[in-house]
Amino acid sequence: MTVNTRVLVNDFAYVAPSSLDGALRLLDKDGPDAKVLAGGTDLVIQMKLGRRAPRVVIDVSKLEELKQLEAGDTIRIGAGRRYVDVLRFLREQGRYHGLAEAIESVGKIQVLAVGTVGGNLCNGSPAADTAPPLITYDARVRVMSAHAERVIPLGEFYTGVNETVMAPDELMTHIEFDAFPDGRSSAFRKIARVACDISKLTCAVVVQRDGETCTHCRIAFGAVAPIPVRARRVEEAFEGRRIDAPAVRKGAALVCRDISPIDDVRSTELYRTEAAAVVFKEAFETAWERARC
Amino acid sequence: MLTTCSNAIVLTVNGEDHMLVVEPNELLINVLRNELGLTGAKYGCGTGQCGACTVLVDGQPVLSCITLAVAVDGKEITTIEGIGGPNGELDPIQEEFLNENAVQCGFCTPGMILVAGDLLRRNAHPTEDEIRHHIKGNICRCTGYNGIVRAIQKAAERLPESEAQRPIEQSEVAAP
Repeated sequence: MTVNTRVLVNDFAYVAPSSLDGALRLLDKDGPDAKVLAGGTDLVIQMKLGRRAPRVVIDVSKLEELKQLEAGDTIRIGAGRRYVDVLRFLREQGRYHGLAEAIESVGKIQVLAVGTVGGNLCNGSPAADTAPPLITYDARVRVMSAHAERVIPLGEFYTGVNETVMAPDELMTHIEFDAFPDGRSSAFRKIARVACDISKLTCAVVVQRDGETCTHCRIAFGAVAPIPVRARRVEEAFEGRRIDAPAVRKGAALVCRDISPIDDVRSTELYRTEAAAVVFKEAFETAWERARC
Repeated sequence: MLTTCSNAIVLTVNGEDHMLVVEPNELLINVLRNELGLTGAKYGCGTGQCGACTVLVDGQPVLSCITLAVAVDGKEITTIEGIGGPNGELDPIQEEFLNENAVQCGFCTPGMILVAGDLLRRNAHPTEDEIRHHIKGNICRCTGYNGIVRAIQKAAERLPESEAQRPIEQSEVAAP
């Protein structure tokens, strides 16, 4: 059957609560039947394609409580803050290139103007562009329900394709990570069919550099497994080691052991496996160069 | 229990207020085209990929085919019909699109022009790279990008002196 994307066929109630409390009360009542709308650049498309049919749409785009941007020892990004604002904030900080590059890779200004990091993460897509860099930052997400609040390491957030640990009555309020010490830097690389397309493969790297030695390393990939994944074997190959060209080549050769890509409409298992090593090498070398004090 | 119900909304479209009653599942593009008769925004891919449905909401380019009308209640919407003068005069960007033959089938043109205007408001002196970067969410299937880029460059040259003196504001999206 051809899907008619000209209209939204299913009926739903639309609510735009004016406070976080109001939103949490609505989720408490209607959670299992509801979907949270932030920028809508994923949700509305999924609804058009018939993949989601919520009975209630809760628009959180006006909630000031989800819009904080805080620098300091802990960087806090409101889950409902628009990409454009987050990008400007990250540029002002002058570090956190990996996350900034991931947001830029989303590409089109029409999505950057309304899309949010929280929405990108909550969709649960293994190809979410902002997930790998935030995983390499050891980021945590803060989620609230009407009854409780919890902090979840992003590395433990995803449970399967389009699935996360969030309960239907929970709302993500913000994302946080520790400020980088000097000598730490990051990078992000993406392969997509054309500009602005959904990723075939993404890679994010964080390195801490002490001279020619790598003292801390985080590597994460997107779109190569059911969830965004860390490449722990590769990280171990770098941490505490002196970095030179043969070491990077050796690390890149290990990438295939940490990922489990599949064939799908955007790419093949073989291509992703081969390309992951190349993309990783580029991302690592970029982060390493940036970390030079 | 919540039930589906119609919503009364107010949209200021091209400077004019409209009181409308919409269903929650109505899309902004359909309200503009079917209720208000503003057919400039085009229905292209329907899934937020092609940019043909671009309109400005509070000055920001958004994709009207994936925007719920009810979610933009109280906002100012600008469509291609609203960027010229009061007596049908063309905007300089529109004139340069004509001069540079940047229009073939015309389907992508309204979106392209609105996005070009957004760029020139932020950056009066864009480089070719910056122009191409800014329009990359808008697809032209007649392969007319060269003409489109030239038209935007010519329109930038025609910006009034006061505009052209404006310091370059960093684009939302940096050119690579």
